Amino acid sequence: MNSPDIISLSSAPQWGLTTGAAGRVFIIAGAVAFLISLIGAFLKRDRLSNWMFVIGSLTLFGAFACLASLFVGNQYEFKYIYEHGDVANELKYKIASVWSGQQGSFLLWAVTSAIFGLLTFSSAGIYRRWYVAIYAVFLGSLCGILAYETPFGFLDGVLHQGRIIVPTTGAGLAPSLQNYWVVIHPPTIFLGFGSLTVMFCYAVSAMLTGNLLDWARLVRPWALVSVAVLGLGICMGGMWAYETLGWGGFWAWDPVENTSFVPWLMVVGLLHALIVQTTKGRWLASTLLLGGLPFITFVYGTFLTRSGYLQNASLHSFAEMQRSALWILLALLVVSVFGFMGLWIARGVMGAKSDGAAPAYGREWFYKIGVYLITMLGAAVAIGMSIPFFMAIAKRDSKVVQEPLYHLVVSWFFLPIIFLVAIVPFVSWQSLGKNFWPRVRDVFCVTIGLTGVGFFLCKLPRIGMPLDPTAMVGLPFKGHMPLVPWMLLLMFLCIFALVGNIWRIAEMSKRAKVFSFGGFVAHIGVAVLMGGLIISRGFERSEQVVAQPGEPVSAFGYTLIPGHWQGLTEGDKNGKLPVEISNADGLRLTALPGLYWLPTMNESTGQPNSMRWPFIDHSFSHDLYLSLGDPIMTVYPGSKKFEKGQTDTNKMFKLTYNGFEMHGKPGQMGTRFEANVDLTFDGQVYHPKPGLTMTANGLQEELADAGPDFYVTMSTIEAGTGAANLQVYFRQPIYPMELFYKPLTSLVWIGAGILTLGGLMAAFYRRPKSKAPNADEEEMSAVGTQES
Amino acid sequence: MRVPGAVVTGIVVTLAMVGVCAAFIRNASPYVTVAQAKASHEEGVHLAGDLVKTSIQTDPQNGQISFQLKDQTGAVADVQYIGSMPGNLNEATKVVAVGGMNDKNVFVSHQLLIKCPSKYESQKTLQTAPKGV
Repeated sequence: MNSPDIISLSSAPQWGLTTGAAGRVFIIAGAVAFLISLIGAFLKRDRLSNWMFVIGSLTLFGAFACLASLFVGNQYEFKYIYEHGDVANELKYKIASVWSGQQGSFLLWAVTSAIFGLLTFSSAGIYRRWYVAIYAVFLGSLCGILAYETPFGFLDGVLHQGRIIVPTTGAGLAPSLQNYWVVIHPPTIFLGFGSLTVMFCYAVSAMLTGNLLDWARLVRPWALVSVAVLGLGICMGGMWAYETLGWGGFWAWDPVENTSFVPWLMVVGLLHALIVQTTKGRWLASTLLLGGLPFITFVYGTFLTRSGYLQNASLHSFAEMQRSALWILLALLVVSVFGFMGLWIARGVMGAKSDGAAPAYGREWFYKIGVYLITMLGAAVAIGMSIPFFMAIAKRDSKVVQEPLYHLVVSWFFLPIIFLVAIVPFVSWQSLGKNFWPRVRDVFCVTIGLTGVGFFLCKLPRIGMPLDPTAMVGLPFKGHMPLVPWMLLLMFLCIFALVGNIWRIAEMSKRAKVFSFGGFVAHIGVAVLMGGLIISRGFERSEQVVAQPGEPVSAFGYTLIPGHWQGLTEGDKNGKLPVEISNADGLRLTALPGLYWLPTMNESTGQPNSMRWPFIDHSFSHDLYLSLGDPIMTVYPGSKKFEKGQTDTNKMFKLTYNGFEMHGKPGQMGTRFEANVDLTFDGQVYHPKPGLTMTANGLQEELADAGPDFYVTMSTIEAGTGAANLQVYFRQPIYPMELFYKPLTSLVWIGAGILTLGGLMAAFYRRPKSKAPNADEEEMSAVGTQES
Repeated sequence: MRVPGAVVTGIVVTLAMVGVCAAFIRNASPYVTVAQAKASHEEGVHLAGDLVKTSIQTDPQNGQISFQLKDQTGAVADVQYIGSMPGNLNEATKVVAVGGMNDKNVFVSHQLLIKCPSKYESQKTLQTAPKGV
């Protein structure tokens, strides 16, 4: 009860307690403000409703500011701050800690949604009353979740003899997260998540007001912003994984990744439907549905990943969510799904007059197929990530959908989509249009030529790596197909889409404004990005090797020689392990993957936990990617108990323990126990004498030399039986390394950049203007002009 | 008789989604018991179980670890893992090995998923949390 540690801790400062209380008050006040805003909308008191919406949003910003200042001010008496903060962290990591946990990431979602709410509500025109009301319901529910799942709760046990004590530091941001990505990726992707609310609320308010047409023009720029920002966030996540996690890939089809990818696909579907609605005034019902799906799929994914059903299937780990908060999230999901679908059937489907038939093989006809394919692709990914959940509901044995299976199923939709991306720019609204076939034929021929050249270049040893001609790709259900034609098809389609869109821009460049090319630019970005992902994965080579410093090992033609670790102290975060990489073509380079040790010990191996960052040698033609495993220093996991006279023979050595001797008196300082060990290695017998000495700090282990490669230590002894726990250390750590050769990963970065640029160009072009663009301009810009 | 476009679309979409579900469910790699793994000799299955801690044997120079897993039915399988050594194997309570049984009924795995009772953060929490208040 009166541990001196606790007494010496200082009391919580008044400002910290006040800030924490203010944070709680802000959340509650936010919930109340949003409730009043909703009631105000029902009573048609618009000024009241709008002001309460603004005030509610500001309280969320206030709560966020409180949480951030508690982190910056080291107020570890709060549980969330304690679990995610660390006094030694730099300022940027203290701020990033705000969203490193569950409660904080909900708060970030609320804040980014509120930002978009404030940006959009005043220009919502005739929809404003309902728009604000629906937005207020959503933000109010998030306040409800945050009231239960509060980040402002106290740490258990900080109330001590009438005062609140402050622990000196917290458990800290997980070291694996500590790099600049944790500062920029979550805010970006959460801005993307926040933007989904705009489309949902617009769709719902369009159905509630009964005006199913005009919302499309209002929501379109925000849908473009959403696609660009969410897309950028997703790309950043992939780059983070690639650059720091050492998995050697950008995308793992992890449920958390899919939770952001599915809504993105839905927004892409919505955007294309909006083009048809704003240009032709058709597809009213479908566009409404697509307006709701991004938000609904995101809430579904959030629920799925937080509910615990995917524990076995995800690489991300989740804290158990507070039950009441999870119920609110489930209620939000159920209400938004059933409410939205009911409303859609009652008002959207019934309300929209029948479209009648569109001209066959005109652009609208192709858009329709494209939108269906995109939406089904999103649904397929959502089904894939739900499989463990479905199996659990059906009480069947759990199953996991792995990366290759995702690739197969996704390709059913991806192949036709990318084909449409290539040809639809040449289609006019009424029909295929004049000169459709000759132009597609020209593009096709150029593509065939480029694919051939590309494939040939890939086979050149200095540029690429030949594909394994015997490699096969599994097909769903049954059967296999050879990898080479499969890769050829995928590459062909990506180049087809690339050439088609460049061709179209060239055709239009004389007559149209630069920013109207945003759609084509985005499509070029998709083709380049997908080409990069497909080539870098399909032509990838990798091999795992282990080596000690100075020992050369080879991996698919490369020779790796690890050197000695470089760093100031073991905990130096800039520590590096130099690895000489060379090959027969004259490549010589020193890879410097990051490696340092944490203050925590891995009790089982008896060595400190390590942190590693991969080393990537970027070049245009390929990345050489070196990922380190946990360095191995001990032979036995933990230690091994030897009875007197016991021998352990393994592939490296033979060790016999012959018992121990005591020098000195039992229980006296300085008394030393010395084991008698024979270690046979390479035909030589060594006689290390590992010792244990009694000191004021307990038993002290000593390293005993055992030949050129090993040390032996003794950690515990049993006086009665003469048994002892021994450990054998390698004199030089063994470094597990995985080398990847990944061709044309540069395309992934370039493609992501082009895609974002295209999205922002289109958003700029579609920005809300004082005067609605006239019909000619609409026609002109909707992914190309007409050719007649 | 003219069939409305919406009906055709509806049928096509439904069929596609049923196909997606079927493809995922039939091809998803199952969690198996030791007996099922022995019976099928299928590759790429997930064998989940409790790690028998005393059974861990490492051969770091060849990048191999062998250990035993006890599944939920109590059956025990020998697992041989080839790959870089997971640092936290000994803290693991549950291990999922991805791979397949070979002819000698050894489960050969190139991928281990390790469930630890506590993550790094909570470990540190245990050490530093004020106790006995």
